[in-house]
Amino acid sequence: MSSRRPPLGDKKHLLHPQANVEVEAYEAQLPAITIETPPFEIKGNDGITRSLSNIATPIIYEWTYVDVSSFERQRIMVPGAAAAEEEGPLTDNLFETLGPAEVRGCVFNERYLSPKKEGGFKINIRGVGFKPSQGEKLNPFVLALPSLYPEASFDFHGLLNFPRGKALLPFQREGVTFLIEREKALLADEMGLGKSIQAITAARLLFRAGVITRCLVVCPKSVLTDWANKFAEWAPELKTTKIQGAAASRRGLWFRRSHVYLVTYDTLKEDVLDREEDNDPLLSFDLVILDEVQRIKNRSTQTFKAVQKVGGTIRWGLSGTPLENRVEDLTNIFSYLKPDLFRSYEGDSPRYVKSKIEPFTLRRIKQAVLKDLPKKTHDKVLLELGVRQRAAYNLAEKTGVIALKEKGKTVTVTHVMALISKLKQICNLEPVSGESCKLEYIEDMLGTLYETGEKMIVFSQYPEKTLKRIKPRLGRFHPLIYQGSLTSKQREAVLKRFEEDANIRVLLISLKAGGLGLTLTMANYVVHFDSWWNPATMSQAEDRTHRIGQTKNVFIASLITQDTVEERIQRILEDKRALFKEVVGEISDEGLTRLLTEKELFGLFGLQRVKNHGTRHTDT
Amino acid sequence: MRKKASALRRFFLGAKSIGFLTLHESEKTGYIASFLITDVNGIPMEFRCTHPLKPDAVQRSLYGERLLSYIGVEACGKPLMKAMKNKPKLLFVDKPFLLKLDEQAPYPTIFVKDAEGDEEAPTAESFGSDYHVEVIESEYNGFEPLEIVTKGELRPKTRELIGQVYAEYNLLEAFDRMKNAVESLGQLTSRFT
Repeated sequence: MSSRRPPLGDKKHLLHPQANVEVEAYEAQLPAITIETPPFEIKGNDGITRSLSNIATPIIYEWTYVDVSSFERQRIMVPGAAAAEEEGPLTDNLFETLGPAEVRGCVFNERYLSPKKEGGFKINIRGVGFKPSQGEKLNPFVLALPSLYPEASFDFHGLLNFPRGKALLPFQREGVTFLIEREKALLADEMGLGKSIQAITAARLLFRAGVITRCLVVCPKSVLTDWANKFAEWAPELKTTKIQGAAASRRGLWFRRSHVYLVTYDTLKEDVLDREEDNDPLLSFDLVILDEVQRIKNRSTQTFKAVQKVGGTIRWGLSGTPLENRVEDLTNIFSYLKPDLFRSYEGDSPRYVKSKIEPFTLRRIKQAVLKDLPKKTHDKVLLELGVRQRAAYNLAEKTGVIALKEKGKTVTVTHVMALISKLKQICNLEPVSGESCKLEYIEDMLGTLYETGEKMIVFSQYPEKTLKRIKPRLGRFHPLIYQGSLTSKQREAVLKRFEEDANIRVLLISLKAGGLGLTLTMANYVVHFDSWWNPATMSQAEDRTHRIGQTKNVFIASLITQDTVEERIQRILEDKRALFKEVVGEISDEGLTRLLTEKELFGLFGLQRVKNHGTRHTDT
Repeated sequence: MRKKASALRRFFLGAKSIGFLTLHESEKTGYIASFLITDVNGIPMEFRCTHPLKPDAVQRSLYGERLLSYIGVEACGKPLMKAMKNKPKLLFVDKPFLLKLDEQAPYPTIFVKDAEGDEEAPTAESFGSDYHVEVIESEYNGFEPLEIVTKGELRPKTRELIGQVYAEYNLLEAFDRMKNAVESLGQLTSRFT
């Protein structure tokens, strides 16, 4: 051991690479000095005694600290350090303040829930029960979300209320009775007769009677949001969960405590096909409702296979057109609804099939229930923007509002109207990708009408930016356009072709060009692709079909996209109408002369119009 | 009548949110505090929790009786409150010592317990004269009466809001959900064990 204390240099802290020992040392200024033997040995927190001989020289050790734990340190005195000996064996501070703790978590927002934001965790996927996609990051907080949902209550109290001003029609009540009396059923009413509200009411009754606790509704994508809204309207006490969004967030949604789960056929395929468990509790439901059940008419499709994995004690199928299809289609549909009904799925005669399914099938056509039906049936259909549409809409709204604010006191109603118009066009169709939830909806609707040969009229206020762009996408229904730029001769020719050619199923009309004066009684389905400010204008347009000569009931659907300026405008108009009705009594739409005030228009974007002082942002 | 009351309730409550903060203790994992914000129907809006804090023997001895309070308020509660993106209208806590967060919180902090159950829970007297204790009944759903404790007198608007929320939302059940969520996190990732 070296007996001579070398001159000291700068004090350093070193960490021994093996023993987890922090060493306070002085680097020698005499590089030639060599330590012959280790000055001491230390005992590490693992209980092993180690020599410090391998610490690089030249170093003179003065003090060492053995890191026994993160909180407790042991001071070891080096032999030969006389000065320290005089001080006696003191300890360092053994106490370390607790915290502040590191916080993790996330804000839950179904639509934009992104697992990537909180990524970086290693997840035990076995606990989740889903196979993750390759390279997918999972957010444990999203996966734990179902635990945070309140239990769905089954303690239903109070009277069974129906939406204000609405009640089931007599034939719909018969439909409800038909469903609740059968565990396996096919409700095959013609389109427009309210199959979904019959099924919702029947499910609601079963929930309240304690017969069922979990219900799955599988439907086409275009009507997913409409189903959710109908449940909210017709069965408000039932909690519904829409299974949608990114794959990782969908996992959480399947586990959420809910009465009703709503899922599209495509999502079901993605989430269900790779699940291997038999009698998977996640896929066991008391009631399964398959909307547009003809989607499972082909046994070889993935959709059919996915649906087969879903267990349901009670199984109902809804379709407006199952009976026009091949016999095999029906047997395939019933192979899910009532698996033991047919011994084989091919080769049965239509008569045999019909006799077998008859007890489980209810089909009414409009003509048969004409006395119950109103001449004009209005339906407000709420749709959800597609992913690209939503991104484009949000960007346009955000930049639009910033631009309005920047205009300061020069901003006018015209500027606001221009922004509304731009946003409404995106709600109709995303200009770059062409994505359109409204188009998907009418494609589905036309597909259903195809079997019955009925025709549809689609109104929009944007002939160039909407109607012309959707026309090619509806090619198989041979659409025609009627708009202001056509000459009188061309207009006549369009109308004549629409009336006479059975292949032409849809007429796209500019609201301004075709809202008045025409008679279009060959069509009995009307779709308002976008809404005009004044409902009276829309009503006049609808009346093109609902005129003398119309022998059928007219069905009108107004398409509105959720969480957009369209819905905000609609809400203001509805509130106004309700207020007028309450205060003044029944009014016609013409009575609403000043539909949206300047203040309300600015308010649509959280802005306040201050006369001569520009706009002011409000915290509404 | 009930329908009218419910409609009125929704009108008054609007888009208000409610917060819940609790401290979970486990021999194995140590202490984890969690903060849940829900809407007035109980639907979760935001959830955050701390990584586990495991005091050593020295800390346990030296913090003494103040250990839980220190962990709940200083080490976990305040960082959690700071981290939350949503700001609730009310904060409910299920541990009496968490009431100290009221000094920091920009919203009323309220200790809640089942008024008729849990004999070991602190009684009204144990809070002292600075604190205000009262019992809230659930108007429609018949949940057990709720004992609430606040520092100082409750403002009438706060009392009205609690009554409206508790009419249809079982506030105590939210703490069970938080416990389940923390347990789920422990199973999902080692960061919470």
